[in-house]
Amino acid sequence: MSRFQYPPNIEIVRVPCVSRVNPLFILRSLQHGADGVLVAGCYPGECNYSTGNLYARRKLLMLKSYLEYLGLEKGRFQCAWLSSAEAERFVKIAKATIESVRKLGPAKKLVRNKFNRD
Amino acid sequence: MEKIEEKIREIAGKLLKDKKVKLIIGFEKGTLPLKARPTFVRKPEEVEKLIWNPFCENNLAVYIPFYRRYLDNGESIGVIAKGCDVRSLVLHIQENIAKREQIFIIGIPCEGILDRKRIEKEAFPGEITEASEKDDKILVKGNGFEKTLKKKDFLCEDCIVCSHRKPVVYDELVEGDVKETEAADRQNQIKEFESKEPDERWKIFTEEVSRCIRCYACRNACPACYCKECFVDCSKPQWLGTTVDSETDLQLFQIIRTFHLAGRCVNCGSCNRACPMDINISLLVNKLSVDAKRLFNYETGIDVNEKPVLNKYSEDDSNEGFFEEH
Repeated sequence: MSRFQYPPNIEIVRVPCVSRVNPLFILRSLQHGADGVLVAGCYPGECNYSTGNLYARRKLLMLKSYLEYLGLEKGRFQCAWLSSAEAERFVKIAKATIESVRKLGPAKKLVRNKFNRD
Repeated sequence: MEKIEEKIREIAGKLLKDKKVKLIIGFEKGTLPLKARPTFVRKPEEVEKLIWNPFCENNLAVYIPFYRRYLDNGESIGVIAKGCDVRSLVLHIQENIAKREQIFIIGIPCEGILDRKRIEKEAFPGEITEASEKDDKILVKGNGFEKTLKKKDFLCEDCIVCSHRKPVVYDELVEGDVKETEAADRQNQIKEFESKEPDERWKIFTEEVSRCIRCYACRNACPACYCKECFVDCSKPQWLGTTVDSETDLQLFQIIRTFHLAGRCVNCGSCNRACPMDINISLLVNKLSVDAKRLFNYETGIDVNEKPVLNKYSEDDSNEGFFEEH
């Protein structure tokens, strides 16, 4: 991204707006091998489609609070406000997220394992 | 209860005679002892079968989305609704299933529904063949035994912490004196669970949910679950498997189904009562109601003209939990 280097263990899924993110995307990625999920959207007030991120903020707030209540570790699902023009900040957030997820270790909750009953 | 039943039959008979509604949804005596049966009355002569007692456990608003053929033609439907049913009806009106004029709400202040499963456990190993209730007592009879129980010991958990026993909206209100409970009680239950460690909470959650057999009784009993294509039936993409082999699929099903009720659930407890495996769904769903109140000051199903909570936004919504600069 703008020729900055960032760690390779982040998989980027592009969406037109953060409001396209369905809670099923997040939970399915945690189920199928992701150790952490980061959802990044435009700053409130700067949405490309004017109000998408404001609706998404409510949805993500409730989802985050709900998953943490059920016992998912606090660093696994993270949300950030990020502008697509801020490459340097993206790299900073990506590095910080990867570090915090690495500290939590490999995901054990919600992981679908072919070799067990699961 | 007899006075309430008489009043219901009077109101219902008048509505059907005057042809104000096409159909009235209420309860009648069923074949099982501790359960009333939902019934659909179309003729004035049939109103004599309508009853009302603390065994009327279903949320009758669940039938409204099935009558779109009447509602789209401009017809009206009458519903005999207790406190939580009324809020589910308001939710349907907010979500444009029906217009306010099309639902004639006969409101009944509810003192709480009896927990059939706990009563059956109390009588175990005897099988209850007859049950009746009067004032504050329940009388159960079976083969060779008879027991009298106190009503207040056998109320459903959700009814004990009910926030709106009196109907918030109605066209006709049947008289009754009920005291509202402190909604803070629900928050205390949540705080107790939240005080545990995350791993312990996850263990309790997964053990509770591992009993799920994917019968979808909870989904069928819930008035807020009326999607034409449920996410579990979607095959493109297939979000989760349909079997009970995978533990994580069961967890995913429960998490997502309850999350789809965020800000829409009225905590009626129908899902708990419908579940054949006695899963404590309130443990999951109460958190969402408490969060909607805490984060957005929103209570489901109070104002007919309001929009559902996730259909609105405010520029002042909190950024709690969003990435903080280090």
